[in-house]
Amino acid sequence: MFAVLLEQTADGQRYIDWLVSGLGWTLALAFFGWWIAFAVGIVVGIGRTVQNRAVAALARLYVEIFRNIPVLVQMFLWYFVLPEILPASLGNAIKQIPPPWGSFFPALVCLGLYTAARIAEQVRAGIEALPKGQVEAASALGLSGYPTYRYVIVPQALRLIIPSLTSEVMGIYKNTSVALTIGLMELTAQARQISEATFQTFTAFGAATLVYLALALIAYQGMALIDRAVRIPGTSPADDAVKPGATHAIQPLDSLPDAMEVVK
Amino acid sequence: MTSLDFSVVLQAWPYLWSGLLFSLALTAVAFVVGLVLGTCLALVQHFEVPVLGKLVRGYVALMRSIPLILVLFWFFFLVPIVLGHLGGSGRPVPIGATWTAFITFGLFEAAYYSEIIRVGLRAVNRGQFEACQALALSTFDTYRSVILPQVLRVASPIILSQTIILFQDTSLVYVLSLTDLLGAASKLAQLNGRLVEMYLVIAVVYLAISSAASQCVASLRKRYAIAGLRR
Amino acid sequence: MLEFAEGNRASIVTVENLVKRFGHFTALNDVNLTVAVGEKIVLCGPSGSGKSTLIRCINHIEKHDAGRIVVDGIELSDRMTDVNGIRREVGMVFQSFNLFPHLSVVENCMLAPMKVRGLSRTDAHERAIGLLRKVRIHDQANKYPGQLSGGQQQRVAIARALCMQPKIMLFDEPTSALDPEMVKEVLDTIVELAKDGMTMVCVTHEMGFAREIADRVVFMDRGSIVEEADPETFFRAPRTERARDFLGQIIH
Repeated sequence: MFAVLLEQTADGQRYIDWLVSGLGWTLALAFFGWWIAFAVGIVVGIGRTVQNRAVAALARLYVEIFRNIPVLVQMFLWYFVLPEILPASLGNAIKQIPPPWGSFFPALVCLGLYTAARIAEQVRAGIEALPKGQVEAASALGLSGYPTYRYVIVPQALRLIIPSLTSEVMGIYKNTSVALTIGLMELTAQARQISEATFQTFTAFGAATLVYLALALIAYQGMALIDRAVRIPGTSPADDAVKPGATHAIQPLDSLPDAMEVVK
Repeated sequence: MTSLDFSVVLQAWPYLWSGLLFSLALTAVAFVVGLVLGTCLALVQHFEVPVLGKLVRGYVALMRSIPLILVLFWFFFLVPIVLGHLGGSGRPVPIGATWTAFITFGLFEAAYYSEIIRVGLRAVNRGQFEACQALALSTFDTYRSVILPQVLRVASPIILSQTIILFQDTSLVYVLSLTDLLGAASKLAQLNGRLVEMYLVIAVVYLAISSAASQCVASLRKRYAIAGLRR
Repeated sequence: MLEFAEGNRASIVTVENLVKRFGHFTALNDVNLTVAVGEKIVLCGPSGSGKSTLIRCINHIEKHDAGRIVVDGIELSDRMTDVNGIRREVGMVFQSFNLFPHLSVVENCMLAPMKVRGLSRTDAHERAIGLLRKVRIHDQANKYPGQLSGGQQQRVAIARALCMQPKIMLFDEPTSALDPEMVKEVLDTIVELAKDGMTMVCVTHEMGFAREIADRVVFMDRGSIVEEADPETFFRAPRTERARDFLGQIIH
């Protein structure tokens, strides 16, 4: 069934090469997008929890805007609208960027900032889940704001949210498919291309599906490995994690939302 | 920077409005179908029905692992074929993009709602089940009158959050060239060339609707925190 | 259908050589007990003695591993097809109340009579109000469990079980989860029930209450029945050393 992938295409390659190329773009977008998202997300997430009203409000605004506009619309804004509203010279320079980079960079920024908003909420949840005694102990020791966050709060909060970050990792590589609307030939786009060229729709989409499933598995295992690697000795995973699902009364469902809001 | 002319938006408003209605209709149908089907899927998994339970778990895992755009392509391709087989003719029934979208979103969301409900079922206090047993309630009555009402009430903020995400995801029907809110804006932008205004406006519309809905969910969550639903 | 035992009083519950294990842990080890109609039995003992496990076996919420349990003439077994037939006649009150939080007090009481005994809504309502009046909580009939105190909730739980008109009531540490000031109102309710002639098996630490209502006190330790006697004998002159140690720890 998958033999057709090994056939020659019009431009001298094999169809499977198209798929691999698509996978490459998907991975690149997901990988670099994730690091942008992680960096920005932690900062914004912390910003949501600080005492300074202005910073907290700004962080709140960021999250509201980037979470409530669909990814596809955001992508159009970055790709179509941004070059138009910038000063003419800059806008034209951007429009000159040749494809595929002309599609890649807007997609990268879009995915990075969108996922950052979601990560920010997870980080906020993680920070708020820490017992108040942690901050009190830090203050009692004379630690001020920044060191408290850096050495006490953030390391613990990040460990707590590893399970929910897993769904964000899965989310970001799934959202790379949205970039096909602005012309990036990522995995899904290539699959569609192959199906149109060979009429072997089942094979083409089937191959892409298998690849995405493999990515999901890898992401899941990778995060489980990280979880084990950073675990604090003497704790078990069930004790601490702000995890989906609880065994006692119903109220822990309050902690579900961030983990359960899986991206498409 | 070229000057912005939002008057085109006012002219285009009827068309955009019909696009918005399509988005909302799609959301509503997917919500109802997804929730009902999702509850069934959750129960099948919860009761660990042999064979079917594993199939359902596989289905849910699949839907949660692959991009929605790919799912849309799959269903666009598969649904006519499946319908052809079901109808007995064996030949694919061409049903068009709109029906594909409605079916796809319903079946897709069912997987996500089923996870929420499945976790909710696991979170129910064992004592509730035992009280139902002690009162000799049948399994059907136990779930219908005691367990599911509680799960749905408590999970309603999360279910609504998921529905807001669903609303945003409806924009992806763009890849099927359907005229939802984004599709309408895009088609208009191609006609009148004013894509900046078009896209900015619909971004604001999506933002306003999603944001307002999120506020409702937040206040719903607060209400359940106070109302003493525990114990 | 009722087995006749000592003193010609019919037995409603017969437990023979009962064994119950949780993994490697043996919770009940060859337990034998008979409950006659109208008898009030108090089960007491240190934690882990198996008393809760025993009464939970009686309405088959816990399934026993060996031995025999006969309730109201019907033997409980893994292969039984109509366990609900037994549960209709056995009422249970839990330590953590287990009221249905999304239903009002009266709805909590009406649910099972309507769904299980097939009562009409009107009849179920009438019965519910009657029993809520009996436990002196009918003025809260339209409130929700979350709005009531622990003592009130437990009295509702008692009314809810009574609405099924059971032949025997099982109480699993009914006051252990209550704040001290609410224990009395619940115990008084149970005492009244006892005086009305209800057959009951009650697991409790409240020894004053046990003295007042029990026909028989059954002391368990580490999965076995160690001593059985009428209350006066048990509290005044326990025969076994383990019973003496237990009473020494509780009554100080």
